[in-house]
Amino acid sequence: MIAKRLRAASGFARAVALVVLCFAVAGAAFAQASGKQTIRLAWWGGETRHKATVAAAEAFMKQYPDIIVKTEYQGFEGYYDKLITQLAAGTGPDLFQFIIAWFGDFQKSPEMFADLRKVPGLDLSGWPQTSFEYGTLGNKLIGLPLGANGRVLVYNKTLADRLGISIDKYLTWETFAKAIKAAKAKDPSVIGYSGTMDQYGYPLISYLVQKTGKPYISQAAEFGFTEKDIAEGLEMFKEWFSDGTFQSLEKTVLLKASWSDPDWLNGKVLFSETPVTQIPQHLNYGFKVGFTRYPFVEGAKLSGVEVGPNMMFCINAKTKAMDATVKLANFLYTSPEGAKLMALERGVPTNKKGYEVLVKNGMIDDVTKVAMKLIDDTDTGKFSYYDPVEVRDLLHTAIQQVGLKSGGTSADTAAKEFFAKATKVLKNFK
Amino acid sequence: MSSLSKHNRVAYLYIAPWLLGFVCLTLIPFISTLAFSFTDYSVLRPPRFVGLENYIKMFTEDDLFPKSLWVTTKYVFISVPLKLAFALLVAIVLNKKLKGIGIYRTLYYLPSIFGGSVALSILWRMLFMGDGLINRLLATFGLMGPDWLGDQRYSLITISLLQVWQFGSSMVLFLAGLKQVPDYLYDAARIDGAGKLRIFRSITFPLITPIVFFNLVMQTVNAFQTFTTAFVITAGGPLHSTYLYAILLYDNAFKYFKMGYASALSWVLFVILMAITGLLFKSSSSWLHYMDSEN
Repeated sequence: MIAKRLRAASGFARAVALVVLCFAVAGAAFAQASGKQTIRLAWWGGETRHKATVAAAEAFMKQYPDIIVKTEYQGFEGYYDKLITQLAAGTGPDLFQFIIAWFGDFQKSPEMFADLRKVPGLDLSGWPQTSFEYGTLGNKLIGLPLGANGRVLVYNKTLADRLGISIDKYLTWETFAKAIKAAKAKDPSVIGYSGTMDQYGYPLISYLVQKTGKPYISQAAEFGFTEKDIAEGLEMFKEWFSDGTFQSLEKTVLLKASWSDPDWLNGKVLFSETPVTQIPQHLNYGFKVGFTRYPFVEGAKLSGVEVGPNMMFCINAKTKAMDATVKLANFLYTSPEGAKLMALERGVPTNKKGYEVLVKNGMIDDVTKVAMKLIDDTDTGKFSYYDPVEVRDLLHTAIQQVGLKSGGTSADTAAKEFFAKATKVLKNFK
Repeated sequence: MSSLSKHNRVAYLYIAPWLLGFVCLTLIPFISTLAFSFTDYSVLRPPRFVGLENYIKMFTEDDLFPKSLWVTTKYVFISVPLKLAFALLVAIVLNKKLKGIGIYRTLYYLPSIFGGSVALSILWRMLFMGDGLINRLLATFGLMGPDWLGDQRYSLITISLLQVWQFGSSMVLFLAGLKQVPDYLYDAARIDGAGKLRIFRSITFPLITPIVFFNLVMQTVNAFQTFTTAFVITAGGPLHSTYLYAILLYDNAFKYFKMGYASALSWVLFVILMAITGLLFKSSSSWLHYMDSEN
């Protein structure tokens, strides 16, 4: 009896396994028989960029019905971790968005990227010569920039007008602090500047680069500033955190975006900062905003501000569908239809052909034109050769040590700790 | 013999899906991490053997290692006892014969169904933010709440509360344990004039110590591995005040791509958990009571 039941069970299990196997084989055969190629396109961004890119991918599939584009998109957080793990495992997307700051990690292993100069059929026309310089790692062209970008200050124009404060077009650190002090003298509840940890980190780096006239991290993977320089910068920030020039760090230390600070939304904050690609996010508040250049140290030779077409596209060297991937890249980045659909979602297109399409169709608005002018004014050369996440985290820790009321660390101690640890991290890039 | 081997074949066939998952997704990665822990492995380049370097660095150079271990220990010491005490308290209440008790039991179990999910963590963040619901409620009573998450003095306690809130599974086990305590023991104690507190101390608690022990071991192990809540709510900040061990591990593995070092960290955590579990088992003989041994 038991043997009979066992036989029946065994037969049933085998039958289930057989059915599963049949489905798997049939599925694979069907995909093969349909003759369609599937490629994967990955990027990060916000809702409007997602919508525009998905629409462009759909338009591409209409034009090339034999190619299926699988879109993989998300926010910035976690994108790089996922991408790098996939690339290392050989399961990366065929075409993907990348930024120049990540180049350092691939210094010793650029083989994961296709050399765009050697990819047959890829349209390399319309890219300015500087694009090729930006996208080259070693001797390999691993990416091509998509749009101009740069960081600028954004201010609450309604608040400034109400208080009768005029914001200079070319602020220095002194006039920046003066404007805030003047605003606070008229209304003590005004907060001078608010931002995320990154938005405190960028201005500090900018200040250090302007002060020393050397890039943040040199090609030899060394800081352009000394421990004393950063101690001075941190001391200035400490003072600004304690006198209300900066928003209380307790309130913003965990923020993911400056515009989620309730005080900013309620019109109490005078300044924040933003990359120009995110300017559209700032145009829908209940108050008017203005944009201005980062503050400069008087006579500074370098701005220390990340300016340039940092967002780029790359092709996976291991793609099994290079032809289809090239067709998609050409469509998205150099064809008139693709350029129109992608619009300004990655900044003003670096590619001349894409740019001309947008100009012809009146798609470059006045605000973007102002932002582009600010970028031009700010651009004074390379701000850094590396930008390791670990060093950035250490910088944020140093800012928290001096900025949090419970931080209880002197600027000298925070600078000393940062410098010792970060220098150790940089050794890995030599 | 042949029938036995046929028995085994069928049994293995049935457990094959689980076995496959266990081998591929648990056993192989488990062994691989041990091998990786002796290497410098950045994912982008092949691993390079470095011997004990990662372990030495952990104990001599990385000041975030002792810091995160200390933060995690505090988190465990705050959240586990609170969670177990709260779960036991609710289980005692739900053990009463009340009208509609089934609905109450379901309601109290609900937070555990949500678990330590991302959505719940975001909700927690919104509740405890500087201008969140908690501070607004306090403001209605004229009180000014602190920055629960942004101030390092309160941040760890705040995320520990989320762990406490997920008391459901421990509560269900306590409830099952309470139902096993024979009524005649309570009757006898009452006849002898014992009060409620005395009954709890001398009858209820000793007889549910096996459940307390099980919950204690499981919750301690879980708390040491907590990741999602702290990562989503504070990402370990401010100033590493909520930098749980699992975040240190994640940062090294997926942010800085130091897979070899992260593997070494995971093995140290494994050894710590084994040691704590061993200690709990060793101590259990002095306070654990089984109903059979009482009889």
